[in-house]
Amino acid sequence: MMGIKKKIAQIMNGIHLGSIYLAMTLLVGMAIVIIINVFMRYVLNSGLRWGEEVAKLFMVWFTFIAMAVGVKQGLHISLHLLPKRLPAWLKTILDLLKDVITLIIAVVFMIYGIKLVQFTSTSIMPATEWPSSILYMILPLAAVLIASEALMDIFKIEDNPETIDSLLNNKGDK
Amino acid sequence: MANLGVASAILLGLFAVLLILKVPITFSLTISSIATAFYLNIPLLAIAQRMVQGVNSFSLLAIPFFILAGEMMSQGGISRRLIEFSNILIGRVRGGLAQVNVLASMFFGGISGSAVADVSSIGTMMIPMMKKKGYDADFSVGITVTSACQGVIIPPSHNMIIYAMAAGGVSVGRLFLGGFVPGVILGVSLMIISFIIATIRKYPKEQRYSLKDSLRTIKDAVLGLFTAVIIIGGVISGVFTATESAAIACLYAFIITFFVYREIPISRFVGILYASLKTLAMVMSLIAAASAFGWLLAYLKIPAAATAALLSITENKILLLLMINLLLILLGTIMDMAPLILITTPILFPVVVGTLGMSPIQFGVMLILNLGIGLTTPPVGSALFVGCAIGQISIEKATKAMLPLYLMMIIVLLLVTFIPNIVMFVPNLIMGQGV
Repeated sequence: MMGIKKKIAQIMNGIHLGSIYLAMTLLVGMAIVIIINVFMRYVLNSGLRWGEEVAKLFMVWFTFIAMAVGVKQGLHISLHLLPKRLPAWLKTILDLLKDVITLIIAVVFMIYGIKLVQFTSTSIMPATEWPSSILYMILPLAAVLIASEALMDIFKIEDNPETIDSLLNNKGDK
Repeated sequence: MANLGVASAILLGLFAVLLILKVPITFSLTISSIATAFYLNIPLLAIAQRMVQGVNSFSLLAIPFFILAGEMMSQGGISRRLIEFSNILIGRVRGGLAQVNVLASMFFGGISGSAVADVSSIGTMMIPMMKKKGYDADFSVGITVTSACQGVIIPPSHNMIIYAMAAGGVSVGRLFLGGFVPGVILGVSLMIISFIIATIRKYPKEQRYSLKDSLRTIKDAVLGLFTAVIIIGGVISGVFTATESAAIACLYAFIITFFVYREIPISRFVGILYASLKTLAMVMSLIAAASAFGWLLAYLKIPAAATAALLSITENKILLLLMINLLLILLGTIMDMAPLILITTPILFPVVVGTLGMSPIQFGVMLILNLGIGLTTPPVGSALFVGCAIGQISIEKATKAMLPLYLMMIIVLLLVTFIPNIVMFVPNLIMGQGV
């Protein structure tokens, strides 16, 4: 049993790290597209027609990947109105509540994300002429990541998000 | 037929209950929107689509760029340079380091726009330095935390972009310029009170810098501060949009950090991207969730109901504004800035701007200053927490020492609320008369 849990955690951590790198690439991508666009508009007098649309697409994808990363790393802030010291059973219930809500949201993203992709597959975005469904495709993908984090939490699969955190934080330090 | 009152109760009630139960704000917003839509028989498709479209906006792109540029500058060593620069400018008065702290925060606000980032980068250097020179720990923490509050209204500030989006079509250039005078007044008033305290407690003055050192430090600091000039200059001249200016500022910050300052190796860029990703994960998810929530607020006509409720208490403009300020301060003491801007703007904007006739620029500055003060107060003040952790003192001790500083902030807030020209003078001067 222990072996399977460990394996799952390992695979999920790999996917997680991959999605962090994807999000970071999108972040740099947005900046580069806009900078090139500005340069072309002011120096060469003709901007990229598709620049804005691609940058916006990158940001939509970035946001939902970041949302999923945030679930694992506990980046989504909550209020601390309840006293710090709570009985253990209450803490368990609150954690479970958080996980179940996260799971419901992931399921909604999944079902309605796929529906949105289907509905918009025939329409195209004006500048790039890509199908509009690309925009919504990130919803079911992010849903998989969010749901797996919530499930791992519910089934107490230890995934040590801190190792990924410190790996990336200390990148480039000597 | 679904009852709109019940739907409103579900939307707001469920949200409030989940917040108390420590469900993250983003997910509390999302799930209460989903539940309300479910009750109203609105297809949940609309909620998912709203969330995606909420971040599919060109002007919002400025937020990732601001945060990335700020992160590069702070990790690249801008804070040390700003501190030294401020030391040259003002270090030689009584209680020099306190003055330096306020001034450096003012400059840093022009680069980062986040009070927490300000406390952690200026504070980690200034608080130990001040303690070593004999300043009381509680005063050192207090002045660091309160002066960091300037960062959120000194332009450019990504919080103003969030507000401009939530309010719908408010000029970002005017907002930036509108925050300028209140930010400076806040800084100067903190400097005056620090001077008085320093004189009473006989805090030391700082040494003079040699001419050669001074010139080098000034050059370095001015090069860094030019990031802010690019953004503000680009936006108010109308040459660039806020998004374009912020993207260029990223490129500029990249060059300054890795080719001019050269304190960190270029491989550190991954760590910088990751740090930005962590901040953005919280902010961008909130914006997506708040856009579904805000859509339902409008659908259920809750802002109109809130306006009517407020006006039924009193129709006196001064009393109403005081009440709204008090409400915002109270909310600010328990919740962070970005979620509060997103949640309170759609509800309060109609009453303050629509009914009471305040300019949307003035309201934006008032709102953000209010919530900024909230970051420095217990029970939940993220800037205060970071400051106390660095200074290794208790929240109670810091808060007690901060009482005169809180008073100053409240006075500035009242000035901003009741004297429109404090906010409006600079935008009107530079960008012409307008709302």
